Amino acid sequence: MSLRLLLSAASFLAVTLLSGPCFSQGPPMVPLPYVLKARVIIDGSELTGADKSCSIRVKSVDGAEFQPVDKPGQTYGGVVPSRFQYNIPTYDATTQPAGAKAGQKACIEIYHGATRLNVTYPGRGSCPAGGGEITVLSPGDALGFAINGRPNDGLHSLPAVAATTPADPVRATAGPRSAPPVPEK
Amino acid sequence: MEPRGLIRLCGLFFLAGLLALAAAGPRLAQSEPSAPEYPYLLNATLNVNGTLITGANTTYTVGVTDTSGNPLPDAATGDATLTYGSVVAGRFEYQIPMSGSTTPSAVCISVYSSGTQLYLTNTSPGQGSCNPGSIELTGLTAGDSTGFGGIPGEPNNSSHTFSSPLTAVTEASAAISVTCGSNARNSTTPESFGNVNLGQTATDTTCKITNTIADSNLIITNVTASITSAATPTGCGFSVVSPTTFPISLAYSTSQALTLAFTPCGTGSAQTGALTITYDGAPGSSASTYCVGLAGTGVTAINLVSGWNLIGLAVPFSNAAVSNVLSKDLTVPASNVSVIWAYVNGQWQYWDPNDTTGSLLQQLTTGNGYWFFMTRAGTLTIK
Repeated sequence: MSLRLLLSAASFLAVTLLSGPCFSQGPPMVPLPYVLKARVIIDGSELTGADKSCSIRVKSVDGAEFQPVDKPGQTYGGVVPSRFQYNIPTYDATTQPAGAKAGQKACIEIYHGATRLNVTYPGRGSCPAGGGEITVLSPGDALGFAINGRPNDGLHSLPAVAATTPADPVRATAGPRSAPPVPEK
Repeated sequence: MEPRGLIRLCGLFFLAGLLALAAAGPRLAQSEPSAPEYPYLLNATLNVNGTLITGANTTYTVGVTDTSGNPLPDAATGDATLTYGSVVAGRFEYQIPMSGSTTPSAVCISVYSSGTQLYLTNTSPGQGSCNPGSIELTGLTAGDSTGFGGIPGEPNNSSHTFSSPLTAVTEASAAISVTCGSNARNSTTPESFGNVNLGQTATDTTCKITNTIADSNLIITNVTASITSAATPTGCGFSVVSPTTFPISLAYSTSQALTLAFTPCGTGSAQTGALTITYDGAPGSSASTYCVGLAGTGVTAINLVSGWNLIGLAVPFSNAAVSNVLSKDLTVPASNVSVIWAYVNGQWQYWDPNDTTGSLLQQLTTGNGYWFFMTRAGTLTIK
């Protein structure tokens, strides 16, 4: 009898404790993003102003782009002149299941028109060729390349992103900064 | 002359004498002074603002009335007031009429400077039933006198002879004062409640009324507070918590503590009001008022702890620019705000003190939630 009572009490406590967080959970919230701010040097020249033909993509190391994509931030100078300012969506099981998790490796890719450039800084790390590896830190933090990160320390503030135009002449035609192909006579 | 003729002549003189006595008799009886017709003499030296007045000084006059304010003109001149030193140098010598229906049981003495009544601060005799500024003499008997300032009265005893002169102060110093803490307060220097949270009531217990006019009979008849900057205040504004029971008698140099309250009627610019003290203190007046300005600002205060804070704004900032808010409305330096995030129009925006160029969040407005990351606790005050 007393054992049954004890089990009942234990069950009640277990249900209460388990359901507690559910009851206290508020409405779904879009979590704070992780911000990527980057000045960009392509083939030795820093971009300035706004350049609609230059874009950035942020993907996981397996090549899947984090969702939702920050469309305005994807374009160079699209949010703030003379930089990429891109909100990397943070993972949330309800609102952003395709977001990035804190501590996860991510790859940044720079495009000029349809041409994907080779990112030389940051280093490739575990990213596919052409990409530059970064580490997703905490929601609300910012990773700044040649711009103050947040917190403004060595982990969050780094030199500018550097990229080069591939030597492939077919792809090179897509970018004005690569030398135009010289027609053979 | 024959003896018969001499007798006749004597008889004529006798008759003439009788006739003369008969004619003169009533005249002598009429000039005989009767007791009720003697005036009551007021002899007084005068001290004004600490200076003994000497000689003849036409600036100062004395007047006497009954306790209802009816003049009792000087019996010698018939004038309602008498100039200082006009009868005897260095004193008033006023003959208070004591005849017929004007025989008073008590009189009020008032002193004037160029026609403006001064405040007599004598306490023995004091104001009595007279108006403020005057003193009362009682028990007047025809032919007696009262002396002030060492002049013997008649009879020469403590009821008729006073060692002090009539002691007067000018109206400027004949006032109450209000101080809050150690600061004087009046209509041009208001008492401020500072910032008070909307929906809350702040009390101020630092103020007091002080009797500065050496009048042991100063009576405060009312103390009220009102708001002037709100058109139709309901359940808000300035108020007097205490005292609430009147009249209050204040001895010279003593004080009455005040407890005032302020409930903001809204936020924004400072709200103003008035504290009105009604008292009987001004010379010759049965009611005077003293006004003190009141001020207070309704605010909404949000306490921010160190670390993350999610806040919303119930009322807008008067200047919603983030840089302005952090520099003026935050109790700690703006450098203690590490970042502010807000989800605006389906997009996360931030304000970063280290990257204001890239900070899309430039305004703090109602209708949004804001994440503040603080490196030190502080309070955000919304005016």
